[in-house]
Amino acid sequence: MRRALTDPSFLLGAAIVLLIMACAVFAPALAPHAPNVADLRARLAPPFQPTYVLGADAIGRDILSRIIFGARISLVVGVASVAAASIIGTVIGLLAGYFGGLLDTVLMRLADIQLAFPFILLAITVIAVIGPGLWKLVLVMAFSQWVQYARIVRGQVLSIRETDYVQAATSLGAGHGRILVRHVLLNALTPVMVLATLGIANNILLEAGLTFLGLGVDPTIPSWGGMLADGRNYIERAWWVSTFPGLAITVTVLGFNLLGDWLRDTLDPRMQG
Amino acid sequence: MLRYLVQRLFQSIFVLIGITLFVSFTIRLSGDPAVAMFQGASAPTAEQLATIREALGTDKPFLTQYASFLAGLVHGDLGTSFRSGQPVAAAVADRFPATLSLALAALAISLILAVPLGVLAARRHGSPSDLAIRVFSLLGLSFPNFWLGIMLILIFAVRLRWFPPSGFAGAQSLVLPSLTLGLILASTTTRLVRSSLLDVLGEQYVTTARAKGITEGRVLYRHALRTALIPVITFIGLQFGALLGGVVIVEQVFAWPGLGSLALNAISFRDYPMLQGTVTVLAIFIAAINLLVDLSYALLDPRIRYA
Amino acid sequence: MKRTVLALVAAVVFGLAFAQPSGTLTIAQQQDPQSWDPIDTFYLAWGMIGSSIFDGLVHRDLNMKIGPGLATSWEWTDNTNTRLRFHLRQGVTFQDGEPFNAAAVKFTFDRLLGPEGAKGPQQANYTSIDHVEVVDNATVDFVMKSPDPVLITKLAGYGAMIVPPKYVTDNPPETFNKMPIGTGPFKVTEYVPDDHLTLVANPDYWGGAPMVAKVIVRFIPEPSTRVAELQAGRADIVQGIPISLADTVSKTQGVKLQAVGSPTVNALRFNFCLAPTDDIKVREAIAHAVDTQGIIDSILQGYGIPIASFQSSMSLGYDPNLTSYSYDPELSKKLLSEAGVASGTPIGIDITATDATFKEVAQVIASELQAVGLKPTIASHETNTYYNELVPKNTVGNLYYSGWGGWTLDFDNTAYLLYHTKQFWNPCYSNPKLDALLAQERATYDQGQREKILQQVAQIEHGDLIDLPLYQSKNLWGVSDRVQGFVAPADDRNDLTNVSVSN
Repeated sequence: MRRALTDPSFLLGAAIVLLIMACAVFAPALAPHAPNVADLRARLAPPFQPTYVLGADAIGRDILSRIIFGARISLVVGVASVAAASIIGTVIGLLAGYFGGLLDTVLMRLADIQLAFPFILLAITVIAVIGPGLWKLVLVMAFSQWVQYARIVRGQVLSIRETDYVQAATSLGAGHGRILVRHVLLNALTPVMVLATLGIANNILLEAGLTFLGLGVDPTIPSWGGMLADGRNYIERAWWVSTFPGLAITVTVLGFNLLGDWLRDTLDPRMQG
Repeated sequence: MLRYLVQRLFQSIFVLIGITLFVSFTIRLSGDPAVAMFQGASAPTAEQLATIREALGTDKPFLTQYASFLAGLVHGDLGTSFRSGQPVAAAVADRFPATLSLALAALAISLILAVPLGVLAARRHGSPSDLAIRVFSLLGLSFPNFWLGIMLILIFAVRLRWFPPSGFAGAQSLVLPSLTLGLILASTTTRLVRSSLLDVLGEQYVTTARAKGITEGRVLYRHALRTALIPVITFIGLQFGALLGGVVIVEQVFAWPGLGSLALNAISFRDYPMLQGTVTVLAIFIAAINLLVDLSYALLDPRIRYA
Repeated sequence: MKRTVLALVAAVVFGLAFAQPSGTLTIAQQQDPQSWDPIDTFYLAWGMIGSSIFDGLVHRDLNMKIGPGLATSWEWTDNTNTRLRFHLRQGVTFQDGEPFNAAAVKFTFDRLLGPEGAKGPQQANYTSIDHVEVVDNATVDFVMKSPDPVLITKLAGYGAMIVPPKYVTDNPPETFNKMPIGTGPFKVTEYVPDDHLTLVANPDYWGGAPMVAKVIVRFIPEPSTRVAELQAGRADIVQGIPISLADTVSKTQGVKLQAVGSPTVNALRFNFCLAPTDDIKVREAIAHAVDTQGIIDSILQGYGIPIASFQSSMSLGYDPNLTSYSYDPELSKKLLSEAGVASGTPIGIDITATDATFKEVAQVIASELQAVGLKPTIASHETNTYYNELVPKNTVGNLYYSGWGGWTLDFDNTAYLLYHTKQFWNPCYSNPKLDALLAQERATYDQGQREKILQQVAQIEHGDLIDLPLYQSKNLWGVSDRVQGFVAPADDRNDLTNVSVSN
């Protein structure tokens, strides 16, 4: 633990993630303005002034406040969907890789079916049926993204299954459960961690893409992706409308990835000692 | 090995059925193509709707429609577009090269960038160049593809006029859209190359090779890289699906006449045959890529055996 | 003297040379209508080009005035107004060489009114026609089933574009969809779906050969990319400039922004079947909470015209004396408390995904509703789902986007389809008085009387607060300085006959 506190990348990553979480939780207290009060006289107000620190958007809302409140959506869209997808995927991948046989075949072919349908098209079709909405989006993401985790975990399990220490453990009489958790799971966690941190970023950006296609979440709720997509026509006139939400995404991506890297370095049993 | 291949091919057929069943079912939930013919401009009467449904075949039960689609598929007939009356197979064949060239170019760009950078970062693990490469790769992850596309158009097509802003007309027009996809893909691939190479470099059999006196370069390329590439190859296989998803948005930004825009229009018009046909072709393609990925495991990792 | 003669000769020669169509015009538009057959489409994207390929019996010019087209004159044969006789233009041929004559007109309308037309959205507009009779080679009679005071205008519409009998009969429908033939000033030579359409000048056009030799129409869905093509000098005319990019285009060198008032109107319609908008007091409160003029001035940057009823200023039935509800948030709050609406009552707003400008407008309105104590949420839907499922089935929120093209420039079409009891897009509102008025105005050809009746309809709309009319759109086009003679059309139907390009 002491080592963690002196590792600069951990500190930076943790600081960023904590900041994002603080924004999400304490948004009403932190934001200087209400996030969806339009002030038509302040339309496209430039940044770096006392009233609108990061400027105002196309309908006169304070961008800083919307970025602070936007942390909520990003955490939900990014983290919740990835948490769900990675848990589902890891379990499926472990089972498929370890037990093999028919279970493996069935699960992996299910995965292939899922994979063959590009997410965007799936999302558009499903949203046309079930309607738009934040939690519906999270659900769609979770149910279509488990596959990458399953496949990566299964691939790792296939490799690790044959290694010396697992074979040694089996010969020593260790039960399935113990092997799965202690040796296989911990080793498979590493790539899952990397993928999960990538996944958080990816999903925040996917939400932006869906907004670009007109199927985003309720625009009265600020989301960084939505702000980016809606601000894309103002790049030449009012660069701050899309640049600051974009920076928020970049910083968040950085934070989660630094944390993920640190977690990977810490948990990887081969890196210890 | 051959037995495995045959088994997988057999299973692929089931996968294909699963995909087409899923697509056909889901799109039919999204709305009635007969009503969509009136384009929100005039109100159809019940007789008109009945006539159209009969002409399109949508008055038949779902499984009947699906069965005739499968029957046609076996002959390479993907049906007829509800919207334009053109055979779907011809439309898909026309648009396939555009999407394929875009996907392959993006993949090429990402590998050309990712493998050397990832290897460099792994070898110089902990150094400033490692950090720089990691930061670069994170930047690539932070932009939505449409935004990167719009920026590239603004800078390279409008300001500098080096490339055309949109349209598919020769190699020049391929540059900006494939860069848009490729740069983003390169970021994630770089990180994965780096991370999995780091994993492998700590492996026992690598340390054994080192102990045997094999030089660092040989250790790296002959032993470590091959194994490290497994998750990367898996990733690319997986990413092909995601890449094709990204293609949908990039085709919109660059007015690229590919399968992505074909599918989008098909959903919008509730053109069932067109959507089924497009997704089926894409699915076959992705399934083929995944099969190749699985087969390559045996080539790359000497420890994986197929029962 | 010799020099003057030489100069004169040179001028004549040059003049003749310029009389030949020359140059290539590149147009970028948003949508590809996917089919060029006039009877299965209603898309504005079709009209942008369709009008250059086809002609109707009558023609609507850039000032929205109806004049002769393929028919030179028309009159009722008697006082019963059941038979309308058209005298056809002589010497006109289709682009494939077929002659234009009475048989072609009959063929066109038989097709429109028959089983082929039944499969598409155009037929419903022409059902007042019983059939078309050939009187002689140059004369046709339209035999009416019921009175249709808007008939002449509709004959300039898509469905009434005259099509070549032999070409349509001899070829499968897909051929006509892909490679249409008409009598118009331009002929299609190439069509790559979702990419481009190539047109060449028809030198034998009855209205005189066009000035530009070739037109390439490109389909580019993303607005910023269309503008990029304009800025890069690769597109000469760009359709559909969103208001957010208007300044960018104005500031670009070598390019001009053209704004044209279109008959398209935008409103938010009230859901009469969902509390609290089922209460007229609440609707009134909402009307007073919205600052329409403020929205037009700021979000629309002035590119919008205020309206008090759901029709444009060009529409028959427009009442210049009707004023919209005033912007009065205090009155709004008072009305809400009188109606017993608690603070924080949710109000659902539904919009379509394709209109970026309206998305901003909706957000401003949401903010203004919040300011009077309501709690609005916005849901954005895919267009087809919206118009085909949500609106007819009334699975929308309290306020939902209502847009209308208004191409007939006549309130009848709009009011009937949207306000008459039990119409497809009117699941919830019913007013027998309004229904009666509509029946009345449909039965007479006296446009003066119809105007008064339609104005009364507008007043009922206003009084019942069926919807909250917001603004009439102004379409923005970007035109390169290389182009002369292009006037942006109010109804999105390009007239390219007088357009030329310089180099």
